[in-house]
Amino acid sequence: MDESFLSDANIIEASRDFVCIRTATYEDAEEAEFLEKIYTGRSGDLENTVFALLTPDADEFLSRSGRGPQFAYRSPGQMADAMRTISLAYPGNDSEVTILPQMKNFRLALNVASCDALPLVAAVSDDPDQLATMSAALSSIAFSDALAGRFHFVATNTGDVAGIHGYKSNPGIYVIMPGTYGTDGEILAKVEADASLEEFSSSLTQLAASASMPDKSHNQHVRTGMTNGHNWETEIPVTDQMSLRAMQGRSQNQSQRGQRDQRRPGG
Amino acid sequence: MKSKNNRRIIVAVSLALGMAMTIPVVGNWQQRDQRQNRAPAQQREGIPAGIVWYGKLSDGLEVARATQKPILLVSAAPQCAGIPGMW
Repeated sequence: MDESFLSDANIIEASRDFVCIRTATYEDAEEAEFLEKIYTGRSGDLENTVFALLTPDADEFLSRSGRGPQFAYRSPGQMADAMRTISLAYPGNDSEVTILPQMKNFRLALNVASCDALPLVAAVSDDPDQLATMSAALSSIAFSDALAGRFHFVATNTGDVAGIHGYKSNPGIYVIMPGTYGTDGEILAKVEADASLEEFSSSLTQLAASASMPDKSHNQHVRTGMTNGHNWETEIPVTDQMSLRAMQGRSQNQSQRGQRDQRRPGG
Repeated sequence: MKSKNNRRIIVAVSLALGMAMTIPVVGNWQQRDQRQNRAPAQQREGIPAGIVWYGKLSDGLEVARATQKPILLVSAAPQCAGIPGMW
């Protein structure tokens, strides 16, 4: 994913007049069907990344679609200008929406939070009504100037969070620091389910200002991940040709390493 | 004079070929880190503002329909060669 466009200050500002959707490729069959209509590469299969600007009903393209914004725009500045022009043509209405911007499940949310090096705010409860109340409360602050884009959110049940370091198995809103590989994490802060929203919003603002987040090196991360045997199972098969070649290379390396270990005396 | 010019051409062509052959040898990941302005494995203080993403397609489409705002759609795989924690 080309972060030089999507972390650009002008594009972030222009994005406030858009509904921004970022799905996780190969993590949902229905979403994959939709994405295939937006863009597929030369092979005709869904690739790792997809990009497009669309009309509010998602029926028409407002930009060229491609693997990323760089397929449609020469620079972040050009894309921000185009977004501003589009938002003048589609100014939207005043409808109030209380849908929490979240990932589809906790496992994915933790991984995505790790990819973005952002803390994950998880509303946790086994009571659907309580979970809905907490989600609505979070959705009302997720777009505030102080918090927008600084956290990921998810609503989940207690079982999903059980493996997180520091979790005390009761409902509430938890701020979780994802682990390096997004498969584990640690509780940074907790707010009771009935705490005031102002209090919680203020805690998150302070956390956003003081948190130290890791800035990962792609090369080092992947190499260490391979050495340590980390592996992510996707929901549906990967079809990106470049990724498939990389994964094939990885399994060949692992099998060669395994054969070498077997040959070693006492291995 | 002619042989001097020929020698210059040979040197220029050799240099160009040498450079062309060297570029792909440099690790793709290193190039990618540099392109994305990432410092290798450092800590950054404070969290900068970012885009607020709807991670579920159905949620995002519903919000766009209700608010009549245009859509910025991106999809990315949260794993690289099967390694999680990296786009």
